[in-house]
Amino acid sequence: MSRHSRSEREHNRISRRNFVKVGGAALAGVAALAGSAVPAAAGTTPSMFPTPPRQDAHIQSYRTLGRTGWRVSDVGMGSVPLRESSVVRYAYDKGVNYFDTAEGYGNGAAERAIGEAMQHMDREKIFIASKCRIRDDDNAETIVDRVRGSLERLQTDYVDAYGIHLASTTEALSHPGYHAAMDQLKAEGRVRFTGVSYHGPGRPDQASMADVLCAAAEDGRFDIMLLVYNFLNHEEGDRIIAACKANNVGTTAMKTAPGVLRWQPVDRDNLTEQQQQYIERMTGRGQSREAALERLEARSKRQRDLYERTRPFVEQYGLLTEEQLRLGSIHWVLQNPDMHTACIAFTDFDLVDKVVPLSGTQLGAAESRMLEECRLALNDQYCRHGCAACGASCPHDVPVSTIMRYAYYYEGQGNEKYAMTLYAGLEGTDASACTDCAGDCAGACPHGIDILPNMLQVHDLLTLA
Amino acid sequence: MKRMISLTALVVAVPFLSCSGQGSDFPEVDGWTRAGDVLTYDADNLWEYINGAAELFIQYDVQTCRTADLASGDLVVTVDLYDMGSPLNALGVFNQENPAGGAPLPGATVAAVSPPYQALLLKGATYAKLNAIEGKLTEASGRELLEALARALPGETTLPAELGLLPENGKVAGSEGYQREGFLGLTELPGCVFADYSGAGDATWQGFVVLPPAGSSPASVWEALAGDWTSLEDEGLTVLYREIPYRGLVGVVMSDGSIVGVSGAADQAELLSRLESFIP
Repeated sequence: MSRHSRSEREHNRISRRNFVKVGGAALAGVAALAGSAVPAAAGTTPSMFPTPPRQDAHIQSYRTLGRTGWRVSDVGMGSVPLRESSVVRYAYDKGVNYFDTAEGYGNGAAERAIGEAMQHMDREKIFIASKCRIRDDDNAETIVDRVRGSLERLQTDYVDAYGIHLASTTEALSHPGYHAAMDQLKAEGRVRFTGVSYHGPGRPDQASMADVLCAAAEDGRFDIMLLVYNFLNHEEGDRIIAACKANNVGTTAMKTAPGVLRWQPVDRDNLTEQQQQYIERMTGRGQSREAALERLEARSKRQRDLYERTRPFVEQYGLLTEEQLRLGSIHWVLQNPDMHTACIAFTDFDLVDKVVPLSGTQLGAAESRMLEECRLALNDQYCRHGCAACGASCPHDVPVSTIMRYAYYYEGQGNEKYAMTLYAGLEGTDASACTDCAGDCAGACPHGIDILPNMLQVHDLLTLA
Repeated sequence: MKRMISLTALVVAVPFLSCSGQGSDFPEVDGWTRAGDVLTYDADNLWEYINGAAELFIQYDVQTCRTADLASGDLVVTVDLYDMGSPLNALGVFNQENPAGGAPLPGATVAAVSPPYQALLLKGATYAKLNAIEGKLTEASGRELLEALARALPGETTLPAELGLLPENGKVAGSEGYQREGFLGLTELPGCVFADYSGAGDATWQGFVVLPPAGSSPASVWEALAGDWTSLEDEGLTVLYREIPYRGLVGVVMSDGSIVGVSGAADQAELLSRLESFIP
């Protein structure tokens, strides 16, 4: 058993100021891997991608999309943001046969763009999945109306799947209006299958992505899932994929490449125009200039530190551009045969020409090694979205991830009062229970996070102890 | 060790960049009362509010989104106020979310009501999106609400000044727009203002002016295009052009320090003809 003595705990604490300064470095993901121009070991590394962009490339791999039986291209098309219908047509001509969209993407603009391309596509050879956010007060009638609106924009008589967009609780999966609407629309031949999308909690009271989508997979009423899946964030996705496989549910991926951040230094005496605008907006909202500057600096430092941490990998493998990282990440997703299709937001022809050649190809050794090293480097510093894996180890049921979020409200956003208010009103046991706790949470985090010292520190922070 | 602790402490929270419930700078709208808190989001956490739809706003450099519910009688609407940083970005988002265009509205740049649930408004750098969550909007009640909101919002009511770069001759009124990235599906064409222009018969084609992104110039964009596109000389003028899948030829020239172009030409002759009529 590995418990921390009081002295060790004290030793582990850092000052509040250091917490701000150093903690600002942490930003989940390798978004900044290629956030700035990176000096590569020119000429000393092999080309990362064996498949250069090609206009004559065609989808090479099709997989069965669960119980729908649809043979789906491993590269699918996401549609946010989407404007050009000719890009839809272009992807279709390359063999992409899965199009994910939503009522809310561009206020229907994405559906319209797909609809404009419809006359150039064989409707029987494509699978269109759309969705809408279901409000509590929606009923079958309002949802049927919204689906009809989607059909009109899509210029089609039916959608292959219509799902619940952003189901943030397991209860949302049983929305009676949605299921009644789907029953009606299926009977009319307007909808063939159902689906669910969710990317994780945005509020403390929401369930994790895995909790919701695993429940959906086991529910029996949903045929396809849309989930976050990338090489930095795949633990939950792997659980969901396993549940889908066990229940013959189709899997589709979004957010396949971690976001991209650029590092912009902050010189208080020489702010860029963009930074100055940011400060003006924050002060215009009532924030002090000093607080706005600190917030800006914290953001900058997070980006810079992440860039510095990841630069060795970037240099080692000769990654020159954000694009290389993006394509490598997509390629990684394509390697999992149980992830049936990766929905890529094709906004232009070039991206189609770059991603389609990855279809059906194997990840190169260099790519694989780089991605794995990035993952390992960040793994023990990244507390997963909504993960509650450590919960069973705590005899006091301290809601660890919720408390950590409050810490960010305090430090990362400068909402100190708000964070402290939330913490004071925390339902259940706060981290003061950790002070003399004999429980063993060391090692409880499957990702290597040392929970106890974090809890003690955050408790001090949020109570001004 | 200290570093590791602190890294962990904030990493956990980054995905949950929170909205603020403390905002009080939401405009007062005559005849409407605010119900509940004002929530404020920025580019880092907008996805928490509108999920994948956030991508569009981020692409257009959203600064903040303030949202609140307003009530009047039996009608309750959620009002989202997107500060897009510039009138041009606000127009770009308005174009995307309302491709049918809008209508003039007193006190606003342009507006659109889509009964029974939605109304949109553009004023200065603000794009406002209203969704009825209780009751139904009519054309009249929607416009009335938009007018009241417009009075409470800052900003100019004129279209963004950048649209003045587009030649007036042959321009189809109301067709102006702005696309921040990938105009015509081409990554090499960054932000462009554009409009439809009358062609032969009922045909129309698009003319555009490139607005180089921050940190670049028309010359650098031109240089990049020259590396990828085909070049031809026409009466002493260099024309760069390429084919767009399914949409014919797009071509550009450098005119008075700006890159201007036309699209949808069936062949070189039509391309040159359109360029000639388009160049100021």
